[in-house]
Amino acid sequence: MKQKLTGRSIRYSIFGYFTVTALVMGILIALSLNTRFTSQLSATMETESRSMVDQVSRSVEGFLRSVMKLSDSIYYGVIKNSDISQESINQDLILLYDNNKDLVENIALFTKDGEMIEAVPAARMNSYTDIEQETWFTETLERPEIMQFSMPHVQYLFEGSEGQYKWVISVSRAVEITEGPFTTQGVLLIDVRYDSLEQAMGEVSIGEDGYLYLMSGDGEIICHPKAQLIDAGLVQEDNLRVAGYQEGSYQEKFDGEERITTVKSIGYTGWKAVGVTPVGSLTLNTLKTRLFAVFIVLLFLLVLAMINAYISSRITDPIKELEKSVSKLEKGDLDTPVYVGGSYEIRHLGGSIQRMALRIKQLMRDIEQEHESKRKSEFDTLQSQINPHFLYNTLDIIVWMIENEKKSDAVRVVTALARFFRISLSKGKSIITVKDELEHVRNYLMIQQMRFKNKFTYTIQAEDEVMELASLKLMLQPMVENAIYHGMEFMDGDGEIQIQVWREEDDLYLKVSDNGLGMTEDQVENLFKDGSHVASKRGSGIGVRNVNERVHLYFGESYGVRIQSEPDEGTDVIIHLPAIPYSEILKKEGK
Amino acid sequence: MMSGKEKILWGLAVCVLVFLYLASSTNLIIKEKKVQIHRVSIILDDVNDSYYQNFKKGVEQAAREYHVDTSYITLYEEDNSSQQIELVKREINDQAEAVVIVPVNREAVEKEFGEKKWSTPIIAVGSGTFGDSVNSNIYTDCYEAGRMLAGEAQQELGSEVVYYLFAQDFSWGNSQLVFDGVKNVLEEAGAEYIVKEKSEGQDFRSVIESMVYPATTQKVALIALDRESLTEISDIFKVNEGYRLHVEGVYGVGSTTSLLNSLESGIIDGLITQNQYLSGYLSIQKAVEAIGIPNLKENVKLDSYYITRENMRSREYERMLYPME
Repeated sequence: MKQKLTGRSIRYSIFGYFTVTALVMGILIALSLNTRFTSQLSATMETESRSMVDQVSRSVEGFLRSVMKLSDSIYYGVIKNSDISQESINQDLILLYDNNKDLVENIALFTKDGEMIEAVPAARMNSYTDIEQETWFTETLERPEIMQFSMPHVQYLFEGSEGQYKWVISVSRAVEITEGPFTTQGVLLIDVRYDSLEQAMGEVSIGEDGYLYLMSGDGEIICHPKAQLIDAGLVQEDNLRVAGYQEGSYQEKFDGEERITTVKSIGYTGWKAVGVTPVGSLTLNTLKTRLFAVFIVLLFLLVLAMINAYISSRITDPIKELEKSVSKLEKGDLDTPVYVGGSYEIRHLGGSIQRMALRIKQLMRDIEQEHESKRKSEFDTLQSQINPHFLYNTLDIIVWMIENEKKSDAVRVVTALARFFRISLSKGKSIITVKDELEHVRNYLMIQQMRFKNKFTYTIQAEDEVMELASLKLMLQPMVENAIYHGMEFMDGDGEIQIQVWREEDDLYLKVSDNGLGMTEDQVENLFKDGSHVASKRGSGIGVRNVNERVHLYFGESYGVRIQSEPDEGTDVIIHLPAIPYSEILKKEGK
Repeated sequence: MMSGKEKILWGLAVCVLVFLYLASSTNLIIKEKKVQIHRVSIILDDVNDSYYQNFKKGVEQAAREYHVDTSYITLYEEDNSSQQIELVKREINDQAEAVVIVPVNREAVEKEFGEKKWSTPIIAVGSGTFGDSVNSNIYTDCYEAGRMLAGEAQQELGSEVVYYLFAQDFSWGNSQLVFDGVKNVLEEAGAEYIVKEKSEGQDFRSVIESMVYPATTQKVALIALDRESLTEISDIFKVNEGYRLHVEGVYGVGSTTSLLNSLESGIIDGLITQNQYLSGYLSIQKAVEAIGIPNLKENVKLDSYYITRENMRSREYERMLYPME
């Protein structure tokens, strides 16, 4: 997570951390609430189940008490007070039967030999029934101290209507029957209607899927909402296992289903009331509930995410704006306004960056100015290295010419000199047109030709298109000076100096060629070296380096001077400049 | 300002929330299961439902559990198979969601139904299985029932007894299949048997009286191949108790309350029955399943039980023979 957020926007980092935290917290809260609520619900349902089972138990106990009370009434109120040899107890029994018709199917009194004494309602016993062999009869006589409750069964002792049958629970007790002077044992049988027990239990359901049933102490089902289906094998019930439980609630798994089983014992009979509540109905695990829980968590998350996004925006937007400003500054746009806004820290940072940018701008301006002035100064210095001897010598020639009545030549020389110096000065400008530079060197050549008594000839060739291009001042003259003093010095009249100027696309070339002595490679190399040069009495010899440096300074390192020379073959000095119209230079200088 | 991607994500989140809300708190997407009441018609094979008390109790239990509104239709005329089929069609036209039929005549119904696809699910209750025209069969193997019955009788009485086989009409009901099973066992045992079919003009009373008068040393036993015959025989013996002494044993098919009384009183020695309650319950259960899944085909075979006086009160059989309300 940390790695993923490294390098990401601070906004996403804040958003990510907050959202993940909120999600985890939300899920934890939802889960714990769900667990808590489910367990609360489960406890509530368990309590309700217990309450229902208790209620039903009380109801069944009440039912059983009624039956027992009736049995006591019959025994103590009727049988014990009667001598059956003398009187009939039929009316009393009918009275009691009528008062308990809803509860009772039959009442019968038997001797210990199985002979029926009375029965209400009046009915004949089935001829095929041998009472003495019946289990309920024998057990009652064996245990006279307690009342016997049978399991539900179809009434079969008495003849009934052909197509009908009744489910009953037989309640039997041993009684003492007075027959004259004798007291014998007998059995009082009350067949209690099974549906009255069902009524006592009521149609109880616990929750949506829960139910309640009644079973005997050894697990036999007495009353169950699906008794028939259990017997048919369609439905399973774990009554036999539950029979071993004590009273209370148990969580168990049966038939793949978690359920809560509540057991309550019923007095007198040993029966048990069992409440069953499937746990599935207690949880919130319906699809809709789950979706709702997911909805709540996501809603909570969305609201938090929106708040996160707002907060992180408030923090990061000013940082972003500042970052944009810094990016522009980084690219060199020092004039860009720096964003100052947001929190105190961001404002302070923005202000600092703004002041820093202004300072940088100022420093750069200073450096530029310094650089410019240094360059100018160097340039001027270089430019001023032009030899003053030329002036002296030329003035000498003029004086000689005047003295020797060569006025017109003197005029020509003076004029040429004036033009020469006018262009040399060029009002302090470093850049002049090619035309002026050629004029300058032409004047120089003319003067030098006169001085050196036509020791050499010269030609100047330049295309019209190059005339108005920009050229450095005093470029050709030093080259020509070198050609005259180093190339022509020891020649006898056959010297030739050619000056050619031409343009090749964006490049301007100015070539000074001579057919003089030429130079070796070392000599050529030395011309460009600092300090080491061949000095001549008549020339400085530093013109090439001077010009080369001036060209580098003004136009850049890709331009400059190159020399092609072979000993005795002459020398070509080629000056390479960019082909820039002079008008552009003027525009740049703001003129 | 949010980027386009962020806007899309926020929009998606809102859409998901709206969807979840609609799914969890309304019925627009996930519909709550409404309790739907299904209409099911039950067409019996008789003019009254007196033999179907236990079956009806099973139907009622299932109807409560599956929210079914049932209606019983009986025939206007006994043993009228074509009338029964007309009743089926009528109920289907009457928008019954499913029809349960206890066929009068299996062959006739099979012929009429054929491989026809009904628009309404049909559940057949009775002997054997039908083809694809029926969604479910709740059936008994009557042939095996016959074999069981004859086997028990044979075991008790042996092969020296002449067995009189009584039936109403082999052309309807399951008598023919029961007869085939009984016959198979008796023939295997080499026992003699005589068939008395009422539709052939046989009068049961006369037949029984012929066993009494004139007196004979020949031991006879009676096997009723259908409940109507068994009921008739039982009634004869109830009225003329003395006749019973001349018969070694009475056996048959069916378990109405009256027949069970006869069994308990000793008139009948043993009878074959099935769980009628379960039959009724399953017929409705399968009907509801077929309403939900029309292509569902499922058959349920019901076991046959041999009931005697000794075992009829057992825990295993008492509730089956006498289903509680």
